[in-house]
Amino acid sequence: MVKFLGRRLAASAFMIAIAATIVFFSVHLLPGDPVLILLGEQGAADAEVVARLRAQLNLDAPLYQQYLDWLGGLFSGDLGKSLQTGLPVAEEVLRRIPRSLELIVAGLAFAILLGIPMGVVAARRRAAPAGLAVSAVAVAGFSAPVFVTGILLVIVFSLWLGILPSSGYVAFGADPLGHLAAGLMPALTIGINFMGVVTRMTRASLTEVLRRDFVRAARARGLSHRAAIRRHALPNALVPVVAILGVRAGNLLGGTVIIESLFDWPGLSSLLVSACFARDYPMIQGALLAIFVLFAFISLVADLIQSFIDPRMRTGR
Amino acid sequence: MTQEALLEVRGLATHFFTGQGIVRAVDGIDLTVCRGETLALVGESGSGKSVASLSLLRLVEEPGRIVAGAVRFAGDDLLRLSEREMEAVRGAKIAMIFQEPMTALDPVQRVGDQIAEGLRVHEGLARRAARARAVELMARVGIPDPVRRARAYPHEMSGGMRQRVMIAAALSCDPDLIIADEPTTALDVTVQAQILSLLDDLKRESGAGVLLITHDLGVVAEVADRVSVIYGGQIVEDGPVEQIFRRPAHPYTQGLIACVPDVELPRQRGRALQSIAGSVPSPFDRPDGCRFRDRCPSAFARCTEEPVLVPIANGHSARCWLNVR
Ligand SMILES: Nc1ncnc2c1ncn2[C@@H]1O[C@H](COP(=O)(O)OP(=O)(O)OP(=O)(O)O)[C@@H](O)[C@H]1O
Ligand SMILES: [Mg+2]
Repeated sequence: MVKFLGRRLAASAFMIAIAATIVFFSVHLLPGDPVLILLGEQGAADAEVVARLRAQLNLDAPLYQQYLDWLGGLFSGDLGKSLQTGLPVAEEVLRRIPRSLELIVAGLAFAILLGIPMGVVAARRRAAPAGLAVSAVAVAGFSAPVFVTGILLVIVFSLWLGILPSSGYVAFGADPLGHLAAGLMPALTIGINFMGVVTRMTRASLTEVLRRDFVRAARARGLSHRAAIRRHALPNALVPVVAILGVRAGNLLGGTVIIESLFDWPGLSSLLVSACFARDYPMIQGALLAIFVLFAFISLVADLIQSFIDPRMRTGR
Repeated sequence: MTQEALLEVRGLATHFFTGQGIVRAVDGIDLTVCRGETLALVGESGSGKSVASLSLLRLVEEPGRIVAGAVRFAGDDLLRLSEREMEAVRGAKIAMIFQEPMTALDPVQRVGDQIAEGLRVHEGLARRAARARAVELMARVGIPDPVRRARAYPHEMSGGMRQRVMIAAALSCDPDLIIADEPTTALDVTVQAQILSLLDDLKRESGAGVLLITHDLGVVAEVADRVSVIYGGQIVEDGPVEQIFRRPAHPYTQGLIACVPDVELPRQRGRALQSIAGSVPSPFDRPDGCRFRDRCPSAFARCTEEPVLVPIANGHSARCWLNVR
C-alpha cells in the first residue's frame, strides 16, 4: 500500500510538471505579443515603453530561460505578479482554491450520497415504477446543461421562495450561515449534474455485478438479498463508479467555469475568465495551473479510494 | 441397508418464462439423498443440473420459477418456508459449492472473511471469533499456513486453493447436506483428484449427505454411492453406482458410460472418445414422447409415448420402454 501510494504520488507530481509545461508554452506560444496587446495601439507606438514593459515582464529573455524561470518560480511558490494589480499571483490563486474546492467537494458529496442509493434502487427495481422514476431523474440531472439547472434553482429558491440569495459570495469568517446560503445553489448545481452520472453508473455497474456467481454464493451462505448487495455486490460495483468519477473530474472543473460565473462566485474559474479578459497572462498561468493541480488531486483521491476497495489495484499496477 | 432419507425431492419443476417461450429446464424430478451418502446427479451440459441444485436452495432467479414439487428436508418442505426461514437453512443446514471458485469468491474481500461469513450470519459470532474459526477451517481443508492465507484475496491463490476455500466456507456451519455443483470441472486433473478425496474425507468425518453434480462418470465411479441420470430436465435412470455401471438400463446412460475411456482405470489419454450422436435438444422443441428418442440407437415405435420411470431391480429404475415387457 505504501509502495502504491508512493508510485501514485510520483505520478501526480509528474502530471503537474507536464501541466506546468503545457500551461507555460500554451500561453507563450499563442499568437500575439502580450506586451503589444497590453499596451494597446497607442502605447505600442512608443518603443521605449514597449522595451521597458518587456524587460519588466522578463519577456526579453530567451524562451528557454523564461521557461526555467517559471519552473524555478513554481518550486519557490512564486508564480509572478499580476499585470493588473501588481500583487503576487500565488496569493490570489491560493485564496481562491478553497472556494472552488468547497463547491466541488459539496457537490460531489451530494452526488454520491444521493446517487449511490438511487443507483441501487434503479438496479434492483429496473422494471418497477420506483426504478423507472429514479432513472428518469438521473437522466434529467445529467443531461440538463448546468446553466439550465442553475437558472431553474435560482427561479425556485430565489425568485419564488426567496430563501436563498441568487448570487454573490460571503466570506465564511464574516457570516458563516450567509456563506453556506450563498454556496448552496452553486454546489447543488454541480451536485445534481453529477448525481445523474453517479446514479446511472451505479445502476449499470450493479446490474452487471448482481449477475456474478459470488453474489449467489453469498446468498447460498445464508445472506439476505439485501445483505449480499451491501457486503459483496456494492463494493464491487463501486470500483468502476469511482474510476469514472475521477476521470470526469475534468468535466466537473469545466462546469465550474459556468457555475462560478452564473452565481458570481469568486473561485478559480472566474479568476481564469477575468484574467483572460484582462490579458493578465501570469494570472492566466497561475489559475490554469491551479485547476490542473485540483484535477490531479481529485483523480489521486479517486485512485486511492479505488485501491482501498479493490486489492487487485494495489498489486496489479 | 435402509437409511434415513435426508433430502427427498419429489416432482420438482423449474421453468423459465422467457420472451421466446417457456423453458422447462427442470421438469418433475425426484431425488433422494441419505445421511452419509453421496448421490451423483449426472447429465450433459444443459440437462438442468445447475437449475435443479439452485432450486433446492430456492436461488433460481427471474425469469425462472419453481412451478411444482416438494423439497423435503429435515421434516420441512423447503418450498413452503418463508424467505426468512429459508435464509436460516442456506449455509447452515445445506451448503453449496460452486463450479468456478474464481467467480464464486468475492474478489475484493479477504478469503478468511468469506469463510467466516456464514458463522457470523448463522451463529452470530463476532468478527474476531469468526476469523479464528476460519483459520481452523482452512487448516482442516488442507490449506497450508492458514493464518497468513486467511488474509489473502482470491486472486492471490491458485484454483485448487480457492476451491478449498469454498469448501471451508461450505463446512463452516456443519451442514447436514452439501451440494457440490461440478466442484472440480474448472481444475487441473491432479488437483481434481485431491479435491474429490478431500470432499470424500470430510463427508465421512461429518456424516453429511452430498449431492454431487457432474458430467464426468469417472468422478461418479470414484465417489458416488448412488447415481441419478438427468436428461432434458427429467431423471431417466437412477440406482446404486455398481448397478448403473454394470447394468445400465437406459440407452442414454449406456451412451454416457461408453464415452468414458475406462471407468475402472484412471483416465487414459490418446484413446478415442466415443460420444453420443447429436446433442441435447433445445428445450423449446423437445420431441414428444421420450426426449431421447431422436438420438437413441434403439428407438422403436412406442417411444413416441411418454415413458415413465419403472423399477428394474432393487433401488434401480429407468425411464425407457425397453425395460417394460
Ligand atoms: N436464466 C435462464 N433463462 C432461460 N433459460 C435458462 C436460464 N438458466 C438456465 N436455463 C436453461 O435451463 C437449462 C438447464 O441449464 P443448467 O444450467 O441447469 O444446465 P447444466 O446441466 O447445469 O449444464 P452445465 O453442465 O453446462 O452446467 C438449459 O437449457 C438452459 O438453457
Ligand atoms: Mg451447470
